[in-house]
Amino acid sequence: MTRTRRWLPWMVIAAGIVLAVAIAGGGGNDTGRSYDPTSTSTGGTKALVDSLRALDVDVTVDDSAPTPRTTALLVLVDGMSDAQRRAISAWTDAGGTLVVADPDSPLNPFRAARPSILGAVQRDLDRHCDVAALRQVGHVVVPAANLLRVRPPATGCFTSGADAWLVTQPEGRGTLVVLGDAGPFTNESLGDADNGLLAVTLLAPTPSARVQVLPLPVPGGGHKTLGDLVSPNIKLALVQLAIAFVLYALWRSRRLGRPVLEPKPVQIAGSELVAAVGRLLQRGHARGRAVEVLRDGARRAIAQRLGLPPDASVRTVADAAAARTTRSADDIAAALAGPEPADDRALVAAAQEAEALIREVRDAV
Amino acid sequence: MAAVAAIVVLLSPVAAGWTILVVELVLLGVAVGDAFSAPAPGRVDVERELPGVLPLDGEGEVAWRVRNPSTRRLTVWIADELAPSLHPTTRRARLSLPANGRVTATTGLRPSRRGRFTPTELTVRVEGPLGLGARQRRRQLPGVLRVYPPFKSRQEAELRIDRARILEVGLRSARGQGGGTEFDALREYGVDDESRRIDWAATARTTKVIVRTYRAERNQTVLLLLDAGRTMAGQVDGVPRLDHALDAVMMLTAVATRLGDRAGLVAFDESVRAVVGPGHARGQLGRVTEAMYTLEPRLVESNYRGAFTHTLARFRRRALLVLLTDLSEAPVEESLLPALPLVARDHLAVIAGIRDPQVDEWAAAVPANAGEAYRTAAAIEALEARRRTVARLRGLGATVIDAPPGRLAPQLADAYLHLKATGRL
Repeated sequence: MTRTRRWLPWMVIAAGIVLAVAIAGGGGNDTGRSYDPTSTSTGGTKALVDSLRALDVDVTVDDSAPTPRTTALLVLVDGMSDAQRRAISAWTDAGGTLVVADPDSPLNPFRAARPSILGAVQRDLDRHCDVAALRQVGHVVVPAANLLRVRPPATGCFTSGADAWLVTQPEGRGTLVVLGDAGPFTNESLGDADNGLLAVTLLAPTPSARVQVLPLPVPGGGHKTLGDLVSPNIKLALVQLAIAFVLYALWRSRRLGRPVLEPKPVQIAGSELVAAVGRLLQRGHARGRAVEVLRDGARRAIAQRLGLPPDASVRTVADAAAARTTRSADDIAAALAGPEPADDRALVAAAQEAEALIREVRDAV
Repeated sequence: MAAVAAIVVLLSPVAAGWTILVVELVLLGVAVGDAFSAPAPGRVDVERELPGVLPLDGEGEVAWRVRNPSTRRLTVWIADELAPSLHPTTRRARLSLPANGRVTATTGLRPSRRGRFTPTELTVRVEGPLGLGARQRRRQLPGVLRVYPPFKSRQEAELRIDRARILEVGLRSARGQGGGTEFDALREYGVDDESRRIDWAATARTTKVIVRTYRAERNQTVLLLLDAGRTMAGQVDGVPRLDHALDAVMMLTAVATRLGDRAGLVAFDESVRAVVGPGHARGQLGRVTEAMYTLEPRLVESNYRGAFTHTLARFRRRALLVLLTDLSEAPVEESLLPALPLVARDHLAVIAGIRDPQVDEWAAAVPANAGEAYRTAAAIEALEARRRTVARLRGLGATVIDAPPGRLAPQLADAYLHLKATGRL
């Protein structure tokens, strides 16, 4: 029960993720992306394409370069390469009508008007211009109200103050029309006010028109870098954050009081010399000298314990020790004066034997 | 604040590089203005109070007294030049001073190194009213803190002083073991008195049996020769041999002076580094401590002959010469043994060395591998060499004490008391 309760939140989260993936991933070919000319979602623009086709206009949705027979080209979202743009500009100069609905497109020569809080609300814009081709269009509903700065010799229509949502100017023998955004052409807004009429007027003023709509760039495709996609304000804010970090580092780097230095006393163990001598004996494989010292030390320790002079011979010490312990004199003499050990293992055994003998005598006396 | 400015930049309707420049200039202006609206650090009165003297591993406190010269509340940071080995709780403090007010901050000290510490520089930082800018300046505030060696054997010393005094009182009433040789007084015979102490002349003059009483001689000289050469730098029980020797010097000085003798000090390495003439005043222990608390072992060969010559030239009176050194075979053979006859002829020489318990432990260990077996052999060899050295020194008439840390000072004091009681001084 407890285990089930413990896992329940995770199971709910996992189920939520699966559901979200199913919803987001479902829907067949409808990508649901804004301004997608193949999307039937509210933000898509498939209704525009279908409406034009319903009017017997030849509409193609592809990203190939426009042919001379193409009369109008609609750029909803610019994900093109510079080469593609050059081809489109050349086509426009040759007499085509280029409608750019992406204000961030390099094909747009007009700067975006300063956004305002009011820009976030829907706007109903009147034409306010005398462009002959647009005389039929009275007003449009522009949901995002992204306006452009009008710069002579361009003409601005559907204006708000000095700024306009639609700006047009001749390009060679063709016409460039830049829109503040493609919002009025979405499935949701195409039926509002004269939005549909504007689309038809711009793209297919005659039934013989051939319209090409550029599909949306493939997600992850395109030629924009991450830097291009980040808003300038965010970039500057990041720069400001970097400056803030540098300032913080500088502020923190100013030390309050200099480091205090003091002489360090000598740090060496008094027993280091003994340890070093031991290492030298081992490195020099001085087993003979080592075992001699160990046995001689044991002989002296036993002699002292038994009340013998320190320089008493091995035989004397062995005899005296044998009298006090269960070991034989020969056995003790062998432990105190045996042959040189053949290897380090034998040295350790000899040292242990000598130490055991000392302890045995100590316990016995 | 600079980070908050990022939000300003983010929301700015103009996304141009110069907006950042404007923001930075505004920030800079505010910070500089804030800093200069704070009073100059030189105007802030700061005083430091050091404890003066602290024992090693003792605890003390440093106090900083700061006065606000301005008429508004002030935030002041201070940083003192307290050495790391003083182990201050903190060497920096943030003080919030009321207008024209005075605030005292303290920090604890627990020195782990003896010596003379001279904190001089004190950094003062005064924050602006907004806390965005600050002004900082270093002030010269010289101070001295002495960290004395710990007198670890103090209790042992008191014990021996009390015991010696009781013994002396006992000597007056009944002859005990040993005893002094200086005539003290005549008194009536008691049952515990030795018959050889009867003063027959005095007895003849009265109708009672009179005995002579003696007391230990006073005003004798104990000269402590402290070796501060390279062999005293090695650490035993985590402390340099020299520090163990300092403890022994302090104990012997305390015992000797309290029992009426005169104690003095000669510290040396390749040359004489400190001298305190023999004295028995109450402050003699303080003088000796003051002379040696800054001593650090120097990595040079000790010049025993030079130290003995200097001592003999300055102090001619017969004395108990106590040499505190290391009993390593090589320096003793090469330098001490040839020089010892200089002092052994006219003075009573005691040589004290600090025995390393680590070496004793290695020598007695049962080796479990080859490395330990070789080390055990080296330890046994070193101890044997030490034994030979001690025997040679004793052969030249010196009393030798070879004791581990903690036992050196008491054994040295016991040796002094024994020599004194047996009248060898």
